Amino acid sequence: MQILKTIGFSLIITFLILNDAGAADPFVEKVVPFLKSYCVQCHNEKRSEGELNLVQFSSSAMVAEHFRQWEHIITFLKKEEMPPAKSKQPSPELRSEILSTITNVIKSESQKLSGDPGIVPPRRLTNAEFNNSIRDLTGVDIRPADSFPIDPASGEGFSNTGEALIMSPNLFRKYYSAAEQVANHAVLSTEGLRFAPHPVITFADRQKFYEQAIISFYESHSVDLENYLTTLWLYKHRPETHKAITLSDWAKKAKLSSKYAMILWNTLEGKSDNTYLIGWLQGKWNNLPSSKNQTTPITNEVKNAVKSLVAEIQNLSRMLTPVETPAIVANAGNGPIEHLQRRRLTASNRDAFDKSSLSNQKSTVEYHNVTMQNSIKLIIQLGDVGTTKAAGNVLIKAYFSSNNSTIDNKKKWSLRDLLAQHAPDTFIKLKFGTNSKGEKIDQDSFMLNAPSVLEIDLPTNAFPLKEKGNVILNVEYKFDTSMLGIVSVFIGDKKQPDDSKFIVRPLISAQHAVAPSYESSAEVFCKLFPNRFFYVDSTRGLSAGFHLIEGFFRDDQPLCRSVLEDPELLELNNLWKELYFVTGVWEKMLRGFVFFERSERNFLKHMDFDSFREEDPDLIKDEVLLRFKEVYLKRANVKLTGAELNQHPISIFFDEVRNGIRFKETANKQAEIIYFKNLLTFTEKANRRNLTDTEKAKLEAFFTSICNDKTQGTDAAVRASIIRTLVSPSFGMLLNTTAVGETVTPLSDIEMASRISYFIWAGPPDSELLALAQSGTLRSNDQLQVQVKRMLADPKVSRFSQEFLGQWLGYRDFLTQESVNRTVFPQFDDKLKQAMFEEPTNLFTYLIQKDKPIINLLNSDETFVNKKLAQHYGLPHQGNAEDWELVTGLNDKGRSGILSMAVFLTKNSQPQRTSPVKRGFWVVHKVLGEHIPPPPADVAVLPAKEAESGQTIRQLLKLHVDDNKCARCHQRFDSIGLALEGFDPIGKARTKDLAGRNIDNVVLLPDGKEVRGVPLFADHLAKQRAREFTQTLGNKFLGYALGRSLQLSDQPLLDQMQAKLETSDFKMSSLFELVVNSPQFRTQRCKDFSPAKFVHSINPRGDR
Amino acid sequence: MSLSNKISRRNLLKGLGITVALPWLESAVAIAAAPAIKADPQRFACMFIGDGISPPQWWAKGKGAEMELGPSLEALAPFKDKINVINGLFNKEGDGGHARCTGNILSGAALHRGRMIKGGISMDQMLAKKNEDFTPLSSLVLGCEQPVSGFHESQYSMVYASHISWQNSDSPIPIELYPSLAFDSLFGGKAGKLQGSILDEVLQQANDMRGKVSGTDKLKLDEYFSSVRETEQRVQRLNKLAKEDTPVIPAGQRPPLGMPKDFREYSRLMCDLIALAFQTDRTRIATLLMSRDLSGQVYPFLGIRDDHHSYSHSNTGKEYQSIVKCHIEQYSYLIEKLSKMQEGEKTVLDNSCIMFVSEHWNAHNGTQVPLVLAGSLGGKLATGRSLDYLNAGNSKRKLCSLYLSLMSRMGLELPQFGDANEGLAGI
Repeated sequence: MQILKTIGFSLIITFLILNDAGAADPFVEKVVPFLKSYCVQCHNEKRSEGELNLVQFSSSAMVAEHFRQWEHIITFLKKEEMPPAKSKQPSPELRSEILSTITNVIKSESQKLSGDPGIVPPRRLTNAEFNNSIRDLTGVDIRPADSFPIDPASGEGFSNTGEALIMSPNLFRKYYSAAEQVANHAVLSTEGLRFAPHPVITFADRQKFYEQAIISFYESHSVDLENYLTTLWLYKHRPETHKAITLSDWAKKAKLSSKYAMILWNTLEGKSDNTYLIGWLQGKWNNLPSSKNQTTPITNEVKNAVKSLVAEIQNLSRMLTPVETPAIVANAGNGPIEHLQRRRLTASNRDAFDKSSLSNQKSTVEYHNVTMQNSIKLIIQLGDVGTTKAAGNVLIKAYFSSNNSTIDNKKKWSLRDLLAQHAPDTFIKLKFGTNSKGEKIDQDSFMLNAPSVLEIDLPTNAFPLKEKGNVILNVEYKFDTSMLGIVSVFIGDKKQPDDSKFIVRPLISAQHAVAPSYESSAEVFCKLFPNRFFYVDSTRGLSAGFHLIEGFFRDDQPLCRSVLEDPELLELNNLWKELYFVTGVWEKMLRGFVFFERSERNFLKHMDFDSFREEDPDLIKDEVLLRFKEVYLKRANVKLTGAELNQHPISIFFDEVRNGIRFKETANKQAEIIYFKNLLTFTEKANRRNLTDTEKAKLEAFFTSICNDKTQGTDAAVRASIIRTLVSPSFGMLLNTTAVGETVTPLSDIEMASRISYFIWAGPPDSELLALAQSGTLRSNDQLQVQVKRMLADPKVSRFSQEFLGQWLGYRDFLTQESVNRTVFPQFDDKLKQAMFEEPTNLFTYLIQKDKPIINLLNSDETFVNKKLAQHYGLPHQGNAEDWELVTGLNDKGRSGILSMAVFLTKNSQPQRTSPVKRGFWVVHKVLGEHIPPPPADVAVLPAKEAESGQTIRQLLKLHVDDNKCARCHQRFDSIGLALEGFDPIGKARTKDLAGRNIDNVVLLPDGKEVRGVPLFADHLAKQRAREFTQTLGNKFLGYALGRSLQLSDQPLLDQMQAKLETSDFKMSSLFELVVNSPQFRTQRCKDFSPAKFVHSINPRGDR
Repeated sequence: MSLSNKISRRNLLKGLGITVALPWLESAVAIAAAPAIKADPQRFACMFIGDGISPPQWWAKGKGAEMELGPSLEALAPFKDKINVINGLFNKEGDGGHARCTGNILSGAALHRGRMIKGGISMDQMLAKKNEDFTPLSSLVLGCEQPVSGFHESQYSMVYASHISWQNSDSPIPIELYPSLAFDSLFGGKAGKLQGSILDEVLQQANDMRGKVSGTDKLKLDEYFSSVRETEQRVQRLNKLAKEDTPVIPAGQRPPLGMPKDFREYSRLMCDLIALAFQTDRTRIATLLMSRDLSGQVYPFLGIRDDHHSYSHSNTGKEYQSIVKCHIEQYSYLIEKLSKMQEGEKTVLDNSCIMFVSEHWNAHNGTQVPLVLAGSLGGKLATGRSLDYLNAGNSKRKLCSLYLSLMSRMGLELPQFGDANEGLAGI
């Protein structure tokens, strides 16, 4: 800082010398005597009223140095506010002569160094730029800089200036923590380095990342049979114009798996002489209603038919595939190895036909509200199967059960007992316990010869239900082994008309001649309609489902076999591979296994296992695992050999664990090479330039040494390298190489890439900018214009909006500060606050991107609202609550542009009242750039609460105008603030103030006209005071772009900007183009810069 | 008075217990002398026993020297005027079987069932965050028992059963089980070594970069590098302490590698580390999970064969009584150590609050929380009392109210924590 000041000082000296050598100084000749007569009585070094000391100015150069102050002096002189009315006044001629002299002095001074880039010291990134850089670098929004202290602002009121951005040991410690935080988000997969939105350090975090990805994959590939059948039906009935389209394309268009659609189609439409399941299915398919109407082919009739067909298919699928074993067995008796074996069986047979269901079946019938009837009917029909005549002896065993309360608490009644008691004739006829040969069978079973129909009536008083209730009939049936049989079995409460349905699930002896034919149809059916395509537990996700052991189980074979295309399958396999790799679950599972088998199942308590300990690091060693397996097999008494031994669940378990652990090790080793490549790219992106060979070699040496350190390893090496990159000034600082020389020099292409991107995106250059810079073509005028256009169209321009507009208009800190009293305004919550905060940024971004007149900020009839803000404003909002929608009709609601935005109205209010003073001051000072001197110390204080004040705010403010001392400034903004009185302290429209008095929002304009409310007043501003607004905008804009205070030499550029704005219909794009092309933006001062050696028109494309 | 004066050789030796030898001491004093301590810092530690205590044996009556202690608490007799035995507190979300009451013993947060892990920030970590700028390590999270993995049959992840310290609602802090690694984290070692070499690398870039800029630009760059250098020097000072490969320090000075088999030895080593960390102001916050929920800890030296959790089902039996007693003895061991560390007129114990707690009252029942506090937080907390809140009504006996009060006395004012929005009356 000290040196900066010194340089500034030496600059002044240089100016002085220059002037002394030249002609007479008009300032000394004319203005100084004027000041002596009219001004210095009040504005001297002792009595510097309005913080102005005019005695110090002794040359034109000093005016140039303090040109800002002199602009204000010009304003005061011009408006004849100075000298004050009661003092001696200059003649109008003298006044105008002096004014033009000062103006000329400033103008001629400004030409001298026009285009000087000025002093732009290297600086660290602002907090916002830091967050944005991390975001662009990692692809996730980690926002580590949120924990940094707030950046100070300097220059034209922005934080992106070098003087303000200090680095300190304390801040560096925060930088270090921020880098660690980012490194913690790194996911080290087998294929390389990426970043997760959450930390990926603990097991649960690591699991979350890939488990969520896999579950999302399953969800987006789940098979909705109704959707498939409907799509195929539509394909079958597609109009002539679509005849050429292939089924595969048709399915893809409907976002379905073309693979599964094809299999399904070929089965439904293919030729088949199979009379059983497939024949039935094809019959059902062909019987679906056909298309009647070309325009809306799918009718409710079709939909319902499809729906009931799907229900039938799913019901059959459940009966034909093996029963699922429970995926979660959460108790201490659950042996992990047995559990895995059960799950493996279930998983591999989801689409297999369960042969045992052929000759051994179950059926249930529900009887509802049995107490309402005297008796219930039970019918068992044994009929033909299609054209095959029924044959065989069927053994039937049945019982009733109920879930309702009974008088004697009995919930289960065998049919045998019921009949014996309530239908003795039938009981005798059925001969329970004996078959046709008179041999003994199970005492609760009886035998029926096919074909036959059995009809039984049972009085309902057989079931002693307390109140009304239901009973369920459970029947098991199979063939007596005496002869081969085939029969369709129907059990119900009424007779079933003869129906082809029986053909789908007949009872057939395994050795019966037609059994193979039925089986083959059932196999095709089950393959097509598995009980599930995949299994994800609703609470435990992909967990294997052990008790107290971590582990995953993959259960998705039908999906992989029948639905996924090869690339999708590859994607899924990769996700699973990464889940195993990133979590290191095999080792975790193994250690959990040892704990569980010892502490919960006691199996490892035998001394043979004493050397296998959960906490032993060597447990995962190959030889230890092999020995463990041997001992375990021995203790489990497994005496198999060869292939049989290898297929044993214990062998499978140990082999899988061992392979998993070995895979983790080798994949880790292979991945190290990839990680290093990723780190190179990462570091180049972070540094915003290519690395030199030396830098690459250093990174490699660093990375490799940690990889090879046994106490650290790959994971630590990657994270440490990330930190190393992020705490380097190459990432955290924006700095350009200083060129030798005494004048200015163009920025290099690489330097230009960062300069332009931190200007327009408040973030790092993207790959296109960097590529152009590396090839040395970024700096051409044409290319710069192309890039500005491209960058303005990018959503990242909203970052510029927030940083630039947010700091200019003073709302960027709105979220972190709060003056609202939430008890008085309960509707002001965090969501509303957030919405208020985002509104101006959204409108500004929109005006930039659509290149609309920027003057619209003042009087726009449109703005952006989300649901919350729309409700606050009483405006319509259609979409999702969080979506920002463009709405028009602000004026009808008494609003207009930024003036009535809730964020400004709220920020410029007191906790329990509005503040026309603050609001008016904001409009005049921030928006229109008027200079207002600070108030004197002895100002009156207004009441804190509107509701408890005896007078309206308008009446109170009258005091300002009555007091001459106050009036000079307050008359310039109090009345403007009163125009905003139609909005309460949180910016909600109102007609009465908090004490219930009517609002008066009339403003008296300088021309004597009165306007009422914001829209008319805003229109006045946009028409009459556009110049002040755009000049303020221009000053701020250039100050932000250059990252420094404006200097007088910037004035010619500012004039150009102003002219360009006015001739381009106030387009922001014209400002961006002009500034990016300007010499101050494209050059920097050389090491020994001297104003005397400054060369005016330097070609920014000049020497590199 | 600088810290180097406060630490006597003898105290440091005691601090490290049996594991320290002299050459180490020089650097310990050197490092301890480096950061000046302003006022005596307040510390907080929590020691946890899983699966509850033995209710009939767990009680206290009266106050000060006249306080009577139940058999379980006998080991605390020498410290009657330094402790508060608090009866009858209630953790609303902690009343349930295994896995759903340990993960929130220090947060009072509702825990999420199923595969997504969700709890709440624990109060020790709230305090750690508040103190993070004052000490090299924001907290020490230790354990004497491996976390158990997988799920409980109640569908709660066993992550909850093994972790009492949570840095955010999504993930608990991994427990450090190795005394030697905990030592390294305190006095440099692994993490410090890495940080040192990262910063060293960055400093190496300084010369390259300084050559490219000049004049005022150099100043800005120097400002950056001097900040790096300052941080690097700090790390180096730490590293000197823990370098294993320096010949003058035999390997025996660090706690031995691995985990001790004997529970008493194990927990005492951990207590030694906490005491040393507090004394040298390496950190001000520590938690120690002596045994987890559903604990498999074994105590052959007590003459009992089965594991901790099995005995907890008959918690009035003499086996479980002896287990609880043994835990209290560890607690008493830490209290005694801290009470012998002078800090000006006071002791480290006086400036601390050391809490003993369990998630269950008796096995599998969380209707009240057994809890003892020791130390007066530098005079902010009256001691020598037995307090009973059991009949105060559920809203007046919240565990989280106690936490609000403790945090407040340690300078962290919160409007609300867990289920409480006011401090505990009468504490």
